[in-house]
Amino acid sequence: MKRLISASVLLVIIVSLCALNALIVKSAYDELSQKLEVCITEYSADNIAKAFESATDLENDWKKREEILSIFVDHDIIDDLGVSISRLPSLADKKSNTFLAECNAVKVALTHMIKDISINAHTLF
Amino acid sequence: MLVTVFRTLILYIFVTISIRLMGKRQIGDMQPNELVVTLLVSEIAAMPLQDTTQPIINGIIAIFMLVIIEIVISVLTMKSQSIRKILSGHSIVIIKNGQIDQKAMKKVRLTIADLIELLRQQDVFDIDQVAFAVLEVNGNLSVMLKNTEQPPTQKQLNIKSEKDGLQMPVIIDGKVIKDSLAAIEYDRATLDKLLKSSKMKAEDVFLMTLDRNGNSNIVRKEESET
Repeated sequence: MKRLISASVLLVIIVSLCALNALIVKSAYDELSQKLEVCITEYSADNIAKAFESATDLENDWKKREEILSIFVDHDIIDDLGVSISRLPSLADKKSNTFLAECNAVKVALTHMIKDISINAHTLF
Repeated sequence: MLVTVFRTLILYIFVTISIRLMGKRQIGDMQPNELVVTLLVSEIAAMPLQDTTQPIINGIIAIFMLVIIEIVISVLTMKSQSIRKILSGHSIVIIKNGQIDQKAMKKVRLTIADLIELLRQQDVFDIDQVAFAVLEVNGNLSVMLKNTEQPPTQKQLNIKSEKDGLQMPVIIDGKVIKDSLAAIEYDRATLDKLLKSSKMKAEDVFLMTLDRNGNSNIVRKEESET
């Protein structure tokens, strides 16, 4: 009976950690994706100043979330996201395609991050 | 570098807790499912240690999940005979009345050399002496000798002996082990009296064993060379 109680306690810990993981990663994904979309829209509409502002906002938000995300997400993805997001503000003030390419890289990394926590054929096998 | 030190410390704590939760069994006594869990735990624990890009929590969750599976399976095998058979297999009689069951040996893929070796480990050098030999689930061979080959017991010889008492180590390296004293229903004052009768103090003793009947063995500490 004692062992079953310990197993139940462990199960509760695991379920809580899994729920926390899903919650934190999902909320980070939603928030960062939304801010990234704003960056792309502003940049595409030639609002460079606003694009720069949005990219800086995205970078600040990322810095806040980076540490907690690294508890749950593969550190390689965290590193990729960190590099790409930190490059965005410096690329936003120049009219070049590099900004959009970097935005795309962030989008891909974010998709990887959310896909890694969902149960699908790719993650299971 | 420091990260590896802390990761090792964290994983060591979690693996130790997990192994404690699973219970204590020697590797040789493990059931197949326990062996699988032990191998997996060690492998999973090593992965986040070698690769610091992996979140340590993934390893911890995997280890805890294995512990849960192991506990649930051990409870199920205790409750159900059929589950125990599926997961752990069952023991099989290899020798019956001195006759080797060759079919059974083929079934468990046991060679005659293995069988002879297992018998020798049980101090049996002649198969004809064996009434029954059973190959247990953990790979050990349990041997029952024929009645004519078994040594006589004190009961059969009508020999009366003093009651046996379990010898407990009550002093180890000068330190009194309170739990051992309690187990043989002794107190510190009685122990001190015993030591006094041997003209010794607890600090002078390297090892002292004692049973309920007061039978003791004392090994004095060697004087250190200066």
